[in-house]
Amino acid sequence: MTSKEKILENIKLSTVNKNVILDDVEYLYDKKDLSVKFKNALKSVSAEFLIFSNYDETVEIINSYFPNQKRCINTIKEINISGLDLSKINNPTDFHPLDLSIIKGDFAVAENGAIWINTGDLPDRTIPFLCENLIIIIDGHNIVGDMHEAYHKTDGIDYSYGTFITGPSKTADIEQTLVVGAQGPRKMLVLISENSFYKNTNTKQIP
Amino acid sequence: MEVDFKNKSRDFVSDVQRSKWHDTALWFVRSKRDVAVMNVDNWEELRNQASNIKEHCISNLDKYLIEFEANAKKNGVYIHWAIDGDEHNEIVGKILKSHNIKKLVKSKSMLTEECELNPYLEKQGIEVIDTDLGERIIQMRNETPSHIVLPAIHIKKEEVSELFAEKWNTEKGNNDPEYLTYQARMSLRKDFLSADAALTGVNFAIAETGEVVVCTNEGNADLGVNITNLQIHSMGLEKVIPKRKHLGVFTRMLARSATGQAITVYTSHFKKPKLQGEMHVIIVDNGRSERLKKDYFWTSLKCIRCGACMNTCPIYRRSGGHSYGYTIPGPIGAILTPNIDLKKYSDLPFASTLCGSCSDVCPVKIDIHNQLYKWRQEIGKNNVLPKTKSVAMGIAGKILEKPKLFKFVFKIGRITLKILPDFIIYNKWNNWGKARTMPEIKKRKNDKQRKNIGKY
Repeated sequence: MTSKEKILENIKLSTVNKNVILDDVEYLYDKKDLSVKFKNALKSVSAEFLIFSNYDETVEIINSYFPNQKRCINTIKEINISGLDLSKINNPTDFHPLDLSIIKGDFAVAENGAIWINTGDLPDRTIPFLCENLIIIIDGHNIVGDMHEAYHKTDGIDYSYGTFITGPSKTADIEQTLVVGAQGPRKMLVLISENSFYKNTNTKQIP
Repeated sequence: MEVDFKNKSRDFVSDVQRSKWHDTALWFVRSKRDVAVMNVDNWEELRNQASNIKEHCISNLDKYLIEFEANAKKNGVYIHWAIDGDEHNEIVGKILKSHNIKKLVKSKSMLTEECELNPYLEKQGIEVIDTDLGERIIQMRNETPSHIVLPAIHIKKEEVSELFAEKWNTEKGNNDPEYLTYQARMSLRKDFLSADAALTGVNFAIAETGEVVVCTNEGNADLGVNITNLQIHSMGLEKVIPKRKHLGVFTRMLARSATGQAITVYTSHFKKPKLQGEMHVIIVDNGRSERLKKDYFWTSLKCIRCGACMNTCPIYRRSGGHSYGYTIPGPIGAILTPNIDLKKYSDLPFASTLCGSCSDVCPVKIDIHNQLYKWRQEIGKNNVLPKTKSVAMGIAGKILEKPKLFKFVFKIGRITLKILPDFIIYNKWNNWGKARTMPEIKKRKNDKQRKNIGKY
């Protein structure tokens, strides 16, 4: 008998008299003041945010916010900032040290400030984690109320690796003192687009 | 050897300042939890759902584990099954050996603490680095975690500063947590960049999709897994949940209960390995399926390891995690451990006032305090009570059975307490009196009411 068979056998014996039925729950999604709630949530997780209306503006914002970023990875073609040439790098350890990463978030969650990143689709999976500073660009019209809706929205999407990122990395492991900047990014800026990324439709877009 | 909670906690409690500080630090976390929970409109409803999902899943565990395995395999993930800690360690060792791995970075995993993976791998010449700051601190001090979410909660910043100065040559006497955290970041960066495999724990495994979800704040799990090409995730078999949509319930509750955050900084869903990478998931039993057999106690498997019961427990807060002598301390540890070894851990269910606060804060509604009470009975029935307790309880039982005898004994008690000198009252058999004063004897005003008690 393999360990798998032994374990499953033992579970079967253990659960003979137990069968709790799973309740079917319907969620009422929160639709009110999502933008305000999201911004408040960002503040509470030590993330900063700015609102922009076109991509040309973002270059200026980024340059003034994070001046002299020598080593940068920009994954958004609409933003005219040149960074490391990823085609010449084979190993993520060669990115290091990485001053700044600019990535796109698919949508945001109002109740906690989380942003869904389809991390598996990035040129390299380390990009949002290895950098000192992280910029995430999101569509200000693409905010859901809570995690129930967030999982509904990502249902059926075939990602290989996806992450909710909520602010810069942090720790309170030394005497419960909050320190922003643990092993991941030490600063995070969220750029919120005033105009919808999806101009031609009013319906809810699955990113 | 049995765990002697009272003696183990004595050292901790006798350092009054430290005990007080520990108590305050944890109560601070508990208070943050309260604020976070109050911001959720339907918290109690969420608790009901979380409990229902977990109970359903655990009572159909074989089905969901098979479904999880099948879907994970479709994603190109290797699945392993380990009956106990030893087999888990062997599997990890084999995977690492087949890739000729010299250095492994680990993010927080209580399961690997439970299996004692680090010493096993180190014996094989593999360097293991714990990358969660708290875990790194205790690893460097050759200690075990004293809390499942805040592993270094028992250590003061001055001690961290000394440790770093000694090991990393950092500035002596600089106790600033920000400075110390930065030094650890610098050191850990080198470890991440030079490691060739990563291992993480698992918060949730989804049967429907075969993905595993890991929740962290520091970013260490994602850094480790993504820099290296070999990723291993170790999970207790109770971590599986049926559907992705159920994550909505648990991700709303986990961090709020644990630290008072609305969600952890990183909630990562690992589904498929990267292009040139390999992904392994090890499903570990280590006594869990045996625990499932118990009629009443099986619901302790619902635990999602948030640590809320520890932060709220008046006993845990004052006596520290190491007093429990097990990886998982506190109220939840005290109901898990008797499953493992009733005699060895027979002291732990008594390390409680049965106030019930643990059950109140538990996000998956484990009735911890009732289980503590029931374990006491099991321990009594199985004759593994320590002598000091069994003799005293036996006598007390006899007295309480007979109202007249009870009255008589208490009359004597009241008189003797009044007239006997302290050195006789606080004798070595008086366990209660060791750290407490006996109640003051006052003239009773309601003796008349008491007289009637026996008549109903």
